[in-house]
Amino acid sequence: MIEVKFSKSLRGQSGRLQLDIDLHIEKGKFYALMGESGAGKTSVLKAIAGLVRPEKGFIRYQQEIWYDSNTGVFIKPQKRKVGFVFQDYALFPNMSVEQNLTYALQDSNDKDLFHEILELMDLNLLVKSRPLELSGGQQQRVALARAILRRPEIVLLDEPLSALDRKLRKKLQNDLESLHRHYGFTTLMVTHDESEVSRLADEVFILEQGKILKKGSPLEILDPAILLEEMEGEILDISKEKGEVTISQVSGIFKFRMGTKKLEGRSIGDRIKLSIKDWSIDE
Amino acid sequence: MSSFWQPFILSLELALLTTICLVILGFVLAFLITNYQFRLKNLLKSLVTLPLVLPPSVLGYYLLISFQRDAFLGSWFSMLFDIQLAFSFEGILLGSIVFSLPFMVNPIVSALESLPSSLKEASYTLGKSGFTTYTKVLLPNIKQAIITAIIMTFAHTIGEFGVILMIGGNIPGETRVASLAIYHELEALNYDVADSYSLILLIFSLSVLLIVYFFQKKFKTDFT
Repeated sequence: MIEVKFSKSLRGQSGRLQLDIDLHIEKGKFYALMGESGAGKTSVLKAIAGLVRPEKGFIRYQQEIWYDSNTGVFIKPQKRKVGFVFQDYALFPNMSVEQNLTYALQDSNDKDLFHEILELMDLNLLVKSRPLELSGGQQQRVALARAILRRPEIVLLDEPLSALDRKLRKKLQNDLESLHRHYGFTTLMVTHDESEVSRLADEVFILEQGKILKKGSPLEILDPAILLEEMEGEILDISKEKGEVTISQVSGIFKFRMGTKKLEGRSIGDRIKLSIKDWSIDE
Repeated sequence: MSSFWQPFILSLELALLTTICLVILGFVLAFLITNYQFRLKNLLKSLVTLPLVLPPSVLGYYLLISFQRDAFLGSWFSMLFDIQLAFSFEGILLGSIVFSLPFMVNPIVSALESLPSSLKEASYTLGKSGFTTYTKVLLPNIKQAIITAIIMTFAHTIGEFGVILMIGGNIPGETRVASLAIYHELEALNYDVADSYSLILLIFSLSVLLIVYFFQKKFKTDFT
C-alpha cells in the first residue's frame, strides 16, 4: 500500500497551481492518472519518485516513510523503489541501448534479469544501437526495460505512449500489461487516452486543478462507449449504476473486454446482457 | 631558445596551465551551480561572470593588491609554497585563471542547463548519485560545449594583456607573454618585430575560431 497525501504550490505558464493530493494505491494494481494539461499529473509522479519535494504532508510506502513534512524526512529518489518512464523516454544519448540498460543494474547478479528483459521486450537486435538511431516505439521499449531493471516496486509512467501511432500503441499496451502482470509491480500511469485506461487500468484517478476529483474503476469513471470499443455487436443499453451492458448478437459471437477481464463466447439469442460487476452473462 | 619565440612559449605555457586548472575548477563550479540550490548561488554566478564585464585594469589592480606579501592571498602563498605572486609567472597564472574563469564555466553551465531535466532525473531514479550522473550522463552529452570552452579559454589566455601587465609587469622570460611583447616592441619602435608578433597572434586566433566552428559542426547531431 502506498499512501500519498501532500500539498505543493506549483508555478506554471498559466500561473500558480495549488496541488492537494490524496491517493491510496494498492500493491500490484494498475492505476491511471488522468486530467487536463497543466493539472499537475507529472508533479504527482515526480513527488512519489522523490524528484519534487512537497511542502506539506507525507508519502508512505508500506512501513517506509518516504516523505514527512512533520519530521523532515525526505528519502532521495535513489533510495525509493521506483521505476520512472519519462514522456521523452530520457534515454542517455551517449550510451548504446546495452549501456543504457546495464546502467540501471544494481549489481552483477542482475545479469539474468537483464537477459530476460531483453528477450521479453524483443531488444536483442538493438543492443548496440544508440537511442537516436531508434524509432519512437523502440525507444519506449528500452525506457520501459531500463526502468524495470531497477527491480522497482512501483513503476511510474508519464504518458509513455503519447508520441506513438495507434498501431504501435496497441502493441506497447500489450507489452506494458504483460510486464505489469509478469513482475507484479504496482503501476501508476499518466495518460490522456481513455481507451488505454479502459484496456490497462484497474482504477482511475481524475485530477483537475491540482485535486483528485474522482476515483474509481474505468467503468465508473469513463464514457461507456470507450469501454466497449473492442466489443463486437451493437450496444443496446448501458447501465453504469447496475454495471450492465446489453448487446445485440449480430454475428452470434460476442466479445467484451475491460482491462485484463474478458468475456467472450457464442450465443444463439438475439441479445445478451453482460453483468460487468460479477463478470457473468445473462442471455 | 631564440628570444623572438620566448614570449610565445611563455604564452603557450600560461595558456596550457590556465586551461588545465580551469577544466578542473570549471567542472566543479558548474556542478555546484547546476546541482545545488543555495542562498549565495546568484553571488557565485555573478563572481564567475564578473571578469567579463570588469575592466582588466580594475581586476588587475585588485589582484595586485591581494598579491602583496602583507595581503591575505600573497601572505598565504608565501607561507605555504614560498611563492611571491606579484610580478611572477605564478602570479600571472593565478590572474589568468580568474580572468578566464567565465570562458570555461559559463558555456558548461549553459549547456548543462539546456539538457532536458529528465536525463538527470532518470539517472537519479535508476539509483545513481549526483556525481555519477554528472560524470557519466551529463558531461558526456555536452562534449561540444566542453571542447568549445577549452579552446576559447586557451585562446583567451593567449590574447590576455591588461591583467598580466598590471600584475606581472613586463619581465622577459617570466611575465612577458606574446601580447605584452607586441606592446614592448611597439614602444621600442621595433615595428618589424611587433608586426610579426601581431600577425602570428592574428593567424592563431583565426585558427582557433575555425577549430571551434569545426567542432560545433562535428558534434551538432550528438544531441537533439
